[in-house]
Amino acid sequence: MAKPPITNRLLDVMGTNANLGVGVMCAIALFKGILRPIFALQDKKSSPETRKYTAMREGLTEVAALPMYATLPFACSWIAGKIFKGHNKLENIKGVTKFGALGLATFMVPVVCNKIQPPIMAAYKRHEDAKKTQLAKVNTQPLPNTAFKANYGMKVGG
Amino acid sequence: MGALNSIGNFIGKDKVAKFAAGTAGTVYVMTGIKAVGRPYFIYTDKNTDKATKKYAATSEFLYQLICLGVTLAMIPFFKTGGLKLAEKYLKQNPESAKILENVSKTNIYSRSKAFDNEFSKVKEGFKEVVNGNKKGKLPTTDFEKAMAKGHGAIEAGSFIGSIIGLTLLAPPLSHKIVHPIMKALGMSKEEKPAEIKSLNKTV
Repeated sequence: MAKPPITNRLLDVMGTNANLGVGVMCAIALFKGILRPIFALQDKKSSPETRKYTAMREGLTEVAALPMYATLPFACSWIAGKIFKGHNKLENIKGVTKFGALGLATFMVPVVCNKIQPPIMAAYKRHEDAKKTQLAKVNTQPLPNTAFKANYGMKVGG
Repeated sequence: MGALNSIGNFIGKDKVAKFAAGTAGTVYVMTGIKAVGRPYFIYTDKNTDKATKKYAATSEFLYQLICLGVTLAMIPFFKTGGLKLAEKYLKQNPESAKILENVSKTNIYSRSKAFDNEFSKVKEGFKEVVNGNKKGKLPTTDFEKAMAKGHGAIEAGSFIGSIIGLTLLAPPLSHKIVHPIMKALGMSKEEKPAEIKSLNKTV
């Protein structure tokens, strides 16, 4: 049997799926995680260092947000399912719990970021500083002196 | 057990569940939470000075407000645009074709809402079925299936509209708007990091 066209299947899924809220938040986080660092890197008004730093922070924020949006609502909905087992409005309860957990995740993203970002950004800054110091050292080292080299080896006609 | 049942009845109200299941409602509420929550966390950060906190919190609040405005303005159009995707399927069934015809008489901004109201009535008649790996209240008749497709098209529209609005339109728009607003409020970027300014002078 031939498969129905993709629009048909997509509309079927979108019309009957109960996880669209979670899906849209994950999709937004994913697209933000890709696009916001690109926007930050293209900001001509900032210095290249600031651009890189901002892009990395923006990316990290969405890296923290995405798993929270994807897991917390389902975990809370599963717990609600256990608590209200047998309730005649169980599907509604699970849906609303998912929505509430999504709200909680949205509210908590900055807290999680405050915990995970400083050590990562500090490590990144240390790495950048070390790179700069190394570069500065290389630049200040004297160039090899050819006359000095001539003092080695067998001297002819000296 | 009685208390638990009452809590369940309170949480599981049909109207609340309908709002919570929708894409657009979720995006509106989550953006609202961001508009309140993010500035709050910036303001309570103990490691930053007051002027910087005030600047960052205001600019974040304005950014989220712009996001909310963009989403509120755009989504209804995307929803109506999405409904067009399902027209072909809705016209195949006389009942759903009639609903589509009635709904099409309303203006472009409220068309999707009018269709969703009709869909809610139809959804009440969905029966509990097991269909492959799908289980729950699903559309069974051709009319119900067509209506579910229409609803799916609206959801797809708000899904795409939210992503475009929040990730592609709002950031450049806020980049253009936030700075002048901040200036008008007497908070210019140059004045923000007072301690950095003084450091620059000493270096």
